[in-house]
Amino acid sequence: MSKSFQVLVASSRIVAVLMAGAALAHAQSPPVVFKGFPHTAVGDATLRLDPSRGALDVIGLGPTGKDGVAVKKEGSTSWAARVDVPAAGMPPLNLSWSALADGRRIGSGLLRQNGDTLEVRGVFTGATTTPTFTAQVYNNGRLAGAIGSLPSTTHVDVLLEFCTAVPEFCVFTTEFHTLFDGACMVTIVGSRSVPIRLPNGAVVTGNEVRLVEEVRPGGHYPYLGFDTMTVRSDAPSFAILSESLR
Amino acid sequence: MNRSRHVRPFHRAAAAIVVLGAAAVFSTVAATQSREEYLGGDTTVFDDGPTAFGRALANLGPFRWTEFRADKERFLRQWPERGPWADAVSCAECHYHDGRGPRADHVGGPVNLVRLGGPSPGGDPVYGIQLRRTGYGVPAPAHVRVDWEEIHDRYPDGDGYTLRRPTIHVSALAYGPLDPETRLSLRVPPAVFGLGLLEAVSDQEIRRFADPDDADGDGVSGIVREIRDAVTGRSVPGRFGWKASQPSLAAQSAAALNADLGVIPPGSSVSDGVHGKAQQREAEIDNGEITALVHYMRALAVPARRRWTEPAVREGEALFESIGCTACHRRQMITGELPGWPELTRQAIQPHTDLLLHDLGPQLADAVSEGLASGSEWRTPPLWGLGLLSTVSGQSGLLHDGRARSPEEAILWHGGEAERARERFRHLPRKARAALLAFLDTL
Repeated sequence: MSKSFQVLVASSRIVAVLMAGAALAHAQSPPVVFKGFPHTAVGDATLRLDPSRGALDVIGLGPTGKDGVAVKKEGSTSWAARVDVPAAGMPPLNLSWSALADGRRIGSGLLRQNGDTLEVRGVFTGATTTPTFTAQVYNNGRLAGAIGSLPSTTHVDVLLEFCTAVPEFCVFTTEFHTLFDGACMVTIVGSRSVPIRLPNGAVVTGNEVRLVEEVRPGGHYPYLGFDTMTVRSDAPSFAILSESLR
Repeated sequence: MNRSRHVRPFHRAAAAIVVLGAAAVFSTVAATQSREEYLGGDTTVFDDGPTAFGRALANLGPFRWTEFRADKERFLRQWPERGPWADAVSCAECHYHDGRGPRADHVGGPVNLVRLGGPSPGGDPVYGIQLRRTGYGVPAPAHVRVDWEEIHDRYPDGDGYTLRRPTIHVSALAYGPLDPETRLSLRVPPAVFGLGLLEAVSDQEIRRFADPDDADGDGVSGIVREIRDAVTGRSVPGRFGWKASQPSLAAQSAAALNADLGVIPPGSSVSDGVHGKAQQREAEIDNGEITALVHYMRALAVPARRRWTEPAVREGEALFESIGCTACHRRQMITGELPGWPELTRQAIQPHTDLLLHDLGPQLADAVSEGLASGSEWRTPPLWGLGLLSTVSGQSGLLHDGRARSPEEAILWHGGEAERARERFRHLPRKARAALLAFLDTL
C-alpha cells in the first residue's frame, strides 16, 4: 500500500461535493425533506437527518453499490451535493451519481479508488453509437490539458498524493451538468491543484476535471433535463452535507 | 361514388396454398431485400429502448441540432393559451416519448380522445368535434368512462383468443345533452416519429397505389382522400390522421393544437365548441410555433428493425406478404423531395403503409365520418416501431381506439377489404401465425 493511500485510509473521511445534472430513482421509504427537496432511500438504505451537522445520513448500505438515496425535482438541469464518505477501514470507495429522466438514466458519474488514484468516469447515453466524451483538465480556470473521442470505458485519474498535504480531509468537488446543447458534463473541482493523469498517459497539474459528453447530432437524443438524481455507494454509509437542485 | 366495396369470397384452399408457398416467397424476399433493418432509409437510428422514438434523424444536419432541442421544448411545454376546452396541456401528453398515446398510467387512461360525429361536419352542435374533458375558466364538458367488453373466439385449429371492444359512457355533461344523432369514437393519438418521411412521399407515389375501383381484382381498394390545400387551392392527398384528414404536418399540427389543446393557430379564428357555438378569437400562436413543431417531428427518426435475420421472422415476413397484408401495408416507398430537408429526400423507406383509405368493415366502423371518409374507412397506419410501442410508453393499444392489445388482436379485428387477409391468418397453423407475429415484432 502506498504512502498516499495509507494517509488516505488513515484520514477520517473523504469529502466529496457532487454536482450533477439529472436523475430518477425508486422510492422505498417515506420521503425525507432535506434542503427543501424530497429524498427517498434507494435499495436497503435508510435515511436519517442529523441536525447537529445539518446533514442527511444515508446508512445501512450493502456492499453491492446499489444502495443510496434519490432526490426528485421535475425539470432540473443541475444538481449539487457535498457528499461525505467515511473511509477509515473501508474497502475502496465506489461512489456513483446518476441523473434520470422518466426513469431512464441519461448520465452518470463514478468515483472509484484504485490503488494510488481516484478514477473519475462518466457514462453518457445520448448517442446511439458508442458514446464518447472529451476530458479536459483546468488549472485555476486555465485549460491545462484535453483529449477527446474517449469511450465510456476510459477514465481520468486524480493522483492521490495531494492528500498528503491535507491529512485530515481529502476535499474535492464534482459536478454534473446538462449543457445547452444537450450534452452532460461531469466536473471535479479540487481544493488545490494536484497531478492528474489523462487517458493518454499525460500527467498535468490542475484543480478541475471536466468530462463532457460529445454530441453528434445524427441519431442523438435531445435530453432537456432530468427529474431525479441518485447517489449510491458500496461504503456502509455516507452523508450529504449540502445540496442544491435547480 | 364508383368504387368497389365488394370483397370477393375467401377461398378455403388459399390458406394451404399460402403455407406451402411461404418458403418460395421467403426465398424471393430474402434475395431481393437489402438494408432491411433500415426502415427509415439513411435516417434510421439504432435504439430499442425507451428513447427509440425520440432520436434525431441519423443523417441530421449538424446545424439543426440546436433548433431540434429548442423545438422539443415546444413539444413538451404546457401551452398557456389552451382552452377553454382541452384534452391535454401539451403535445407530449398525448404523444408520450414521441410515441403512440399518453403514458400507460395517464390520468383518464391510455385512450384520451373522444371524437364526435354529428349531423354536420362540425360534430355535435354543442360539443363540437371532440368531447373534451377539461375546462379552463368554464365547466369541463363531460366525464368519460370506457368499459371494455370481451369477446371470446377460436382459430380453426382450436386455439382460443379474446378480443375486446370499448363502450363509452358519458356523464356530467355540463352543457346539456349530446345531440341524438351524435356518435362517439375513441381515438388513440398516433406516434410522431417518421412523419417527415411520410410527408416527403410525393403525391404521385401515393396516387400510384390507389385502386379505388379494385381494378386489379384483389378485393382490396385503396382510396386517396383528396384535400384542398389551403394555400394553393389544389387537391392534394390527405396523409395524416386516422382518416387521412390532413395533407401536411403543418395542417395536422394546427388541427391538433385547436382540437386537443384549444389553441387557435394562425389562419383560424375559431375554437371548436363552447356553449354551443364556435368561439371567435384571434390567432394565439404564429406560424413560427407551427413551423417549430413541424421541424421537430420531421427530425424524429425511425428506429431500426431488430432480429430481422431470424428464420422465423423471415418466414413471418413472407407470410405477411403472401396472405395479403401488404396489399395495404405496403412495405416500401421512395420519398420525394421535401424542400429544405435533404435528409428526408429520396429515401427508400419501409413504413408498411400505402397512406390510403380502406374499408375495414362494420366491426371497426365508428359511424363518425370525416369528409369523404366513412365511419368504416381508415387510413392504413404505418407499422414501423410496432414492436417498440410498449417499451416506449408502457402501453400498446392498437387500432384507432386502442382496443387491440397486441398485433394479433389487431389483425383479428380487420374486416371489409382486409377480411380475406384476416381469414388467411386465422387459418394458418399456430407456428405460422407465431412467425408472422414475430415478424411484426421486429418492426
